[in-house]
This record gives sequence, C-alpha cells and structure tokens, in this order.
Amino acid sequence: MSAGAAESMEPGRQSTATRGAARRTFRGTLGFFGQSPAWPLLILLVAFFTLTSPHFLTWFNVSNLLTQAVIIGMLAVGLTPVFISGAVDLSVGSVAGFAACLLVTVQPHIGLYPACLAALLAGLSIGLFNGLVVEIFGLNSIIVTLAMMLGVRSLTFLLFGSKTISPTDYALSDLVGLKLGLFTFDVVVFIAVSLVVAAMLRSTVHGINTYAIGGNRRAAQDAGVRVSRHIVLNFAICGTLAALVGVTLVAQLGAAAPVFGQGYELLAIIAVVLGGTKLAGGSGTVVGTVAAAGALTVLQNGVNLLNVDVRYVTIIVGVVLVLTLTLDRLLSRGPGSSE
Amino acid sequence: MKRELSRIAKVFSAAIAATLLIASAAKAEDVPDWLQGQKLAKPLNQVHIGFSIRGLLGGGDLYTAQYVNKVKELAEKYGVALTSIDAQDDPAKQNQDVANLMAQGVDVVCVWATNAKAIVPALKKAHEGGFKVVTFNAVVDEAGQKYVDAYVGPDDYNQSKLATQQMIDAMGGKGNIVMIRAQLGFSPSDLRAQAVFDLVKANPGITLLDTQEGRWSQVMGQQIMENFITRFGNKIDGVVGADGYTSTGAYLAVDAARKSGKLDPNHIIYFSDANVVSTSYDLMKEGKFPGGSVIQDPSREGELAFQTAVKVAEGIEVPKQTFLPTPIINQGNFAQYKRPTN
Repeated sequence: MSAGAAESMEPGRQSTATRGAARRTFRGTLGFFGQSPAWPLLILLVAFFTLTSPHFLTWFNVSNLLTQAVIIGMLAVGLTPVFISGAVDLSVGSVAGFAACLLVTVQPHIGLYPACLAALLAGLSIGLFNGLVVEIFGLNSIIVTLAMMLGVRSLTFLLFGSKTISPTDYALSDLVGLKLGLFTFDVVVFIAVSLVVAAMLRSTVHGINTYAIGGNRRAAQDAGVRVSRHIVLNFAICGTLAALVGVTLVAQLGAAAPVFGQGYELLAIIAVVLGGTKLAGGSGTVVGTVAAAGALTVLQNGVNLLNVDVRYVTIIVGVVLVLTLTLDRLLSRGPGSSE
Repeated sequence: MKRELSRIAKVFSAAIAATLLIASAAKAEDVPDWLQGQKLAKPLNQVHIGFSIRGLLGGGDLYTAQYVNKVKELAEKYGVALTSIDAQDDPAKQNQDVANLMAQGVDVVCVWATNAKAIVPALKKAHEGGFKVVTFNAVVDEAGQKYVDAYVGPDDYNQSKLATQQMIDAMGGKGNIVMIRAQLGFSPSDLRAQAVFDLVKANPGITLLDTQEGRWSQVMGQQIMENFITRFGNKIDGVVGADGYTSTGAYLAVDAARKSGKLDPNHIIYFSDANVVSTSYDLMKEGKFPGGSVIQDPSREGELAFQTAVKVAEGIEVPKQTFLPTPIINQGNFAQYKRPTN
C-alpha cells in the first residue's frame, strides 16, 4: 500500500491497519519465543530492574533468580501439557507437599535415592488416578483435581502428622548446594526437564495429539486419536513433576511439612496462562511457560530489591499480570475476538 | 581596618564554634538512649536492616501488623534503611526472601521464621555469606541455632505454661479441656501447644479432649469451638486458645451456644491463651473470661527487635537471647494494665 493510499484511508480503517501492523510485528517477535507475552514482559522487567537496582544484575542475584524460578517453573512445565489438552490439574501443590513428606518419612528406612523414587512414584500414581477418574467417569478435571487437592493435603496430615520433619540424610541438600557457575543442581534439573517436556510436545506423536485434543477433542477422536490415553499420560507427567517439586523442596529446605506447596497451584497456573497457553486448550509452549515463571520470579525479586512496601508487592504483581494479558489480547487478537 | 577585620574574623570564628557545638549536641541527641555510650561502627543513617516477615498478607494478623509497623516507625525515626519482605507463610518463599536480602548487602539479616526447621538452610547461607543473623519472635530449630547471632522475642513455652496454669488453678486442677492451637510447624505455636501437653501430663485431673488448628484466627477459633461444643457439649470445662483472637472466637461460640440452649448457661467454662488482645481484655473486664492470659505487646516486641537488630548491625555485643517480658493478666489484675491495641 502506498503512503498516499494510507493517508486517504478513513481514521477507523487507518487505526485498524496500524493495529494490524503492530499485531504482525508483535506476533513476528513472539514467533520465535512461542507466541508468549511472557518474553517481552521478562525482557522489560529485566531492563527495568537493571536500571533501577544496582543489586539486580549481580552474579549472586542472578544465581538466586534461577534457583527461585525452579519451584513454580517446574510445576508450571508439568501443567502445560495438561492445559494444552484442555484439562486442568489443581492438585499439584498438594502432591508436592505429599511427596516431600513421603520422602523424608521413608528415607531413614529405605535410603535416600529409593525414597526419592518412592516420592516420584507417588506423584505419578496420583497423576494417573486424576487422569483415569477424569476420563473413565467423564468428569470435569477442575472438580476432580480440586477434590484431590483437598484430599491429598488431608491425607498428608493424616499419614505424616502435623509437624515439620527432617531427613536423616542431607545428601540432597548438599547436591542442590553444588554450583556450576550460575547454575545450582536443581536449576540444571529444571532446565533438563523443561527441554524434555518441550521436545515431547514438539516432536512426539503424543505431543502433537495433545495439541489436537485440546484444539478439538471430537475431531481428534474422529481422526482415530486415542484421546483418553494421551490425557491420562499428561496427568501422569504432571503428577510426577509435582512430586519432583516436592523432592526439590526437601533438598532446598532440608525439611518437609504437610503445608509445603500450599497455594502453589495458583502461581503455577498463572505462569502457564501468562506463558501463552490457552485455558481452553489447543495451544501453548513450554518455552512460554518457562519465560512466564522467569518473569514472575524477576518481578517478585525486583520489587523486593527496590524495597517496595510489602503491602503493595502483591498488588503490583497482580496489576502487571493483568496489564500484560490485556495488552497481549489487544495486540495479538483484538478486543472482542472470540479466540 | 586591620582591627575591624580581626574583630570580624573573631566574631565569625565564634559563630562557627557555636554552630559546631550546637550541631554536635544535636547529633548526640539523635543517638537514642539505648545506644548512648556505645561505639558505633557506622552512623545510624548508614545502617541497613533486612527483615523477612513470616506472613503479613498470607496468614498475617493484627499482632504481626503492629509489630512490623513499629519496626518501620523506628527505622524512619532514626533514618535506618529497612528492607522488609513478606514470606506469606511459605517456607520456600522465605528462603528466597533471605537470599534477596543478602543480594542487597544488608548489614543484618533478621528473620521471623515461618517454619523453624525449613528456615535453617537460609540461615546457614546467610551466616556463611558473612551476614549477621537475628531471629525475631519465633525460635528456630536447634540445627539452625549456630547460625544465629541473637534472638529477640517471647518465651512462648513459658508464657503458655503461665497462662494455662492460671486456668488449671482456677478449675481446681480437674476437668476437661479442649485446645485450639495456632499453626502447625510454626515454632511459637508448637511451643505453646507443647506447654499445654506437658501441663496436662503433670495434672492427672485434667483431660485434653481434642486439639485443632485455628491459625491465630478469631473466625476459625469460633468455628472450631462450635464443632467442639457439638461433639462434647457440657463436658467442656476449659478452652486453651493460641492467643486472644482465638479465645475471643471460642468465647463467642460458647456465648451463642448458651443462648441457644446447647450449653448449660450455669456451667462455667474457663479460658486461657498465651497473649491477651483487646477483645479478650474486654471479656476479662466484663468478668466473662475466667482463667487467664499473659501480656505480649507487639509494639514493645517490635521495639526490642529493632534495637537488637541495630545493635548487631553496629557491631555491639548483645545477649544471645532477649526475652520479651510477659506478665500474667486475668480478671483479678487486668486493671493494672492498659488495654492492648491489637
């Protein structure tokens, strides 16, 4: 289109064209990063806090940031395939708490690494159970996993008592204390897990079918995709990663308590949504989720470094998230879009 | 001309000397009483305190809010930099908060721990990073004690023992009690509950019917007490609350049950908790709180905490433990004390 033609356009059409161009640029920029509003947010936040706090871009703080992103990041990465397939898992925080307590309780009897395995198997089993109940009975995943969230938390209190318990073997804590440059062991595990889940979604039949199911379950079924099998598998992966978060908590904190992981599901869901995964399913990426977990961590860390009054911190976090998602919707889809 | 110049110079010098004298006197006044005569490592306005709060927004209560406000007020008054971060009652977040305080190079890391055991790795990291560590209000696990330079706060075990003993004495050493403890895994709550368990063991006439978690909340205290009343009815002779908020909630449940006929209005139910608040003070004043409590003033505790943190930051030696005075209060002596503001 020539400049003259553009000038002769009506104001409404002109603004539509400008918005369209902005949208294309925005999408183009985001293409590489998995169409996630979290990437620009992360870059903006890093730039802002680098300029405003002398402590932000220091070796010590960057290493802290990476460690701090692990817990919510790992939960969110596990949730991403579940969300893409159009389901939800609200039980991840409770599973993390259960796995942490199980690990510490059985460790003196069976040894540390078998105890870690037991914790992961417990997470896997809870995930499988969630998926099977959702698929066999055709129940809404929100209701099933909400019930599991409450049930698993209560079971943790019942089985392990209402107290904080410490392991007798602190090798896990020593392990996460190891540093390779900026990276602690738990950060390395998180990166590895994220890469595996990202590759699974991108390059395996299961991953491709997960997108298909989330996009249109009926169509996927008609195309011969074994829908239930894929959904149950995603829940199982999610449960296992939630248990891995429990193991990481024990490693980081050197203890376990039934209250561990409480409320984490909400933060993880925020990270998944901010990462560009649709709540309705069908789209989303692990790369976006990781960026969102990073952005949330940077935001929290940055406002702490700027000494923002604690009463305003959560308000700021909430406002930034809403603004980001609103801006994303306006730029990439346009208001009123049914997408 | 020379004479005039010399006179002007003398007057000018005298004025400067006087100004300096006044300024130094004013500076001496700026140093608070509790630092007078101490050698300071740096001026107060260069001290930076980092404060990790267990939960101001998450499960926070008025006590925590008033405590934190006092610390802030004093920091502003003396020009001390204060960075406070809310852990929202999440042990993992609190570990990260301590790391964030360290990143800012604070002079002293102060921690009001949300979990006595889970905070230990963070304290270790701070200690090994060369930071002075002061714990506030909640005693941390024994494994973490070696990383702590000072503790300032209440002696939760003893104050709970004092309060509960008053109630047991008032009950004549026999009867059935229920306990609404606070927050499991949080050391003040655990220590307070442990004191009750120990007293029950030491007093064979006392039976503990049940214990539930009320999370320092009046609403939860009331709900749990309603459930206790449904289960045990007039068998309940005494209620141990975690604090005045919980006890007030329990009293409201008892009062409503009496009015509705679920409880015998003539049956006396005793109350105790390990720190009085304004509403439980009012109940004592009205003669509705047989039993007793202790006084734990959040502003006074915040003041002691701030002073200790500044002293540690200034390199002044402080006692390893500074306990907040917590005198007993009951329907007989409440008038001696001011109504709590929290």
